[in-house]
Amino acid sequence: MVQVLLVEDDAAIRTALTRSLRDHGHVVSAVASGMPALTAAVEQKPDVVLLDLGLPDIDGADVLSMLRAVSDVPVIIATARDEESEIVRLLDLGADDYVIKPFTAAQLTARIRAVMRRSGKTDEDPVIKVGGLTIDVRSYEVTVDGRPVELARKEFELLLALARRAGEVVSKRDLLSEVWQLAWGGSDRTVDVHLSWLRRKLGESAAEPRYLHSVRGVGVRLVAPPDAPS
Amino acid sequence: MLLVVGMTTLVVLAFAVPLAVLIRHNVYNDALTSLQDEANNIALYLHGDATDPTTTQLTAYLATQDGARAASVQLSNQQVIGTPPPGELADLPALPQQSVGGRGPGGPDGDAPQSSGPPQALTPWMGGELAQLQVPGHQGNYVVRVYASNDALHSGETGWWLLLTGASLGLLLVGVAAAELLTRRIVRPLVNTADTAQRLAAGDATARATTEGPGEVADVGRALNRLADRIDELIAEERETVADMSHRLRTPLTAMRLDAESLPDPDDAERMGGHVSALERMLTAVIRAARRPQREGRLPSCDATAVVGRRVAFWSALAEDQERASTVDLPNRPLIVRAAADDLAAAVDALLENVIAHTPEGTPFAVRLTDAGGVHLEVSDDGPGLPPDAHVRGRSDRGSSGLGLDIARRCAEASGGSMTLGSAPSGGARIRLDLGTP
Repeated sequence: MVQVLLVEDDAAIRTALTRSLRDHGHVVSAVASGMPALTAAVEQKPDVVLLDLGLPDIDGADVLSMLRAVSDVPVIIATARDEESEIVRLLDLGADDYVIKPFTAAQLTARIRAVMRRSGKTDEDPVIKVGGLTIDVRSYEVTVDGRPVELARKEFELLLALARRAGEVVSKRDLLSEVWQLAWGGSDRTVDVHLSWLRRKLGESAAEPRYLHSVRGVGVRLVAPPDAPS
Repeated sequence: MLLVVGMTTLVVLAFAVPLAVLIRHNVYNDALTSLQDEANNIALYLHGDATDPTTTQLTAYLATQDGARAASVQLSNQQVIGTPPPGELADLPALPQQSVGGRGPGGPDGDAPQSSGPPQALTPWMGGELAQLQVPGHQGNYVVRVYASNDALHSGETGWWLLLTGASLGLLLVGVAAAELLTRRIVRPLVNTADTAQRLAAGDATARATTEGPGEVADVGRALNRLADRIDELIAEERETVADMSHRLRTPLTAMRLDAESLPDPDDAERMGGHVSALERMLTAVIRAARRPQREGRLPSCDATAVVGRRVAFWSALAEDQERASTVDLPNRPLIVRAAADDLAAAVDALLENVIAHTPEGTPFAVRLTDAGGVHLEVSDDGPGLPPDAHVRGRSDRGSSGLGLDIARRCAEASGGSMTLGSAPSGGARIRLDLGTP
């Protein structure tokens, strides 16, 4: 259970997000402007702050700076602008992560989980093991049978998303949404090609899969190969 | 330039023609005066001494006179010394009645002959002028005759003609040089400014006029440049406004997406989610289009060899997994095209994705990049070929089932090229992008 402070001026989004996050099992307190957000951040000591940038009283970026002066609570920025320069600026200001509008509740909970993991405020084991595959979510290190594997960021996130639901068939749409934040414009081939790279780097192929199994028409499943050490 | 030459010629002619007439007249008059002077001088010589000169002395004296004229003295015994005028002696015009010199009847004694002879002493004769004088001598009268042909009379003009022609040509050259200088100073910057205006009108927003040349022309250039800058600013502002509005639309879109997700009926949720996704795709396209110049500069360019190489390498993993044989033919040198690297990469991705999405696994494909008469990118496969309505579907927004050809077409057309859909020899699809170069 994560306590989320939601700072959002748009009433429709506030209502919808509060409901969605509660459905995902979080405790949500919502405020509509910058000053109450700062007060709430200090008084309620939330586990994570979800901060919208377009606030009526203070600019979201200024709220972030002020918040950083008094607290090191993880902050996820919700922004409509997806330019790299803007995102870099926000991360430099002290944001821990960001979601680009319009996001889905699944994306947001994935982000919340990620920042909680990074800040160590989670009871989740930081090292995920599936057979001979080891994923350290804090150091971004992956090993297969003790052999280190160099992965690109998206490849790592894809592997992590699958590993967290090991044994389950995960749909490509879910993966696009969670890994690429692309529930809209994305294509299944984007997942396919990253899967292929992942297979190559893990030392397997589609014809002879070990960990990564495609289930035609449904999605992908990560399982420990029968010959792997448990 | 021709106009300047014509005008200068006219002006020079307007001065030169009256001047020529004047020169001709003056030179002729001078020659006549000189003719009379010579006659008078001879008269003086005959008359001046106490004794008449001997024939030898006279011959020697006449030889010192101007050779262009025929000077002769007829002695009282009718003997002619020197060069007589042409024609028979008997046919010569009658002597003037009035003689020169003081010894004649009625003439004042010792009076020296005047240098300007009486006009009637000059008579036109045999295509020339003849000056005749009767001089009283100690042993009878002499007749002095000096003749000059018209050619000789006009001979003094040649120098003047040369001078006049030289001066006219000189003036003409000065005029042309001055015109050239003026052209350089005024017309050239003006032509440059006009050219800049044309380029701006044609859509080249980077065109700027020269601010050199005469003050007024430089002012026009500066004003045009300010106008171009202002247009740039306005366009940038408009684009920024469009991008900003589109960004703001993302907030209500978020509410819609979240609400759609929480619909109780999964089919409704899926359908609504699809609508929201389509809306978001268009919005993203609008923002990208509005931000394009800011993102990649006004004249984007990239190395097609490198971009195509990278994208083919990226997709190779999937192609290998699907056991597709691929033929990749890239030149071993950079080919610069007029497209942003991102856009070209997206186009290559779209074409390769197209092959993977619409042909069965294991179907071979080929990528060829050539620069024979422009840069051409060709992606072909051995699959079932393009559906007949491919280009129509390609126009629509790219969905999960769409062909994504629109991205490739936009990239080719933005670079100044085009996209051609065709068939490979195997019957599969062949898509060719002609890419413009900077």
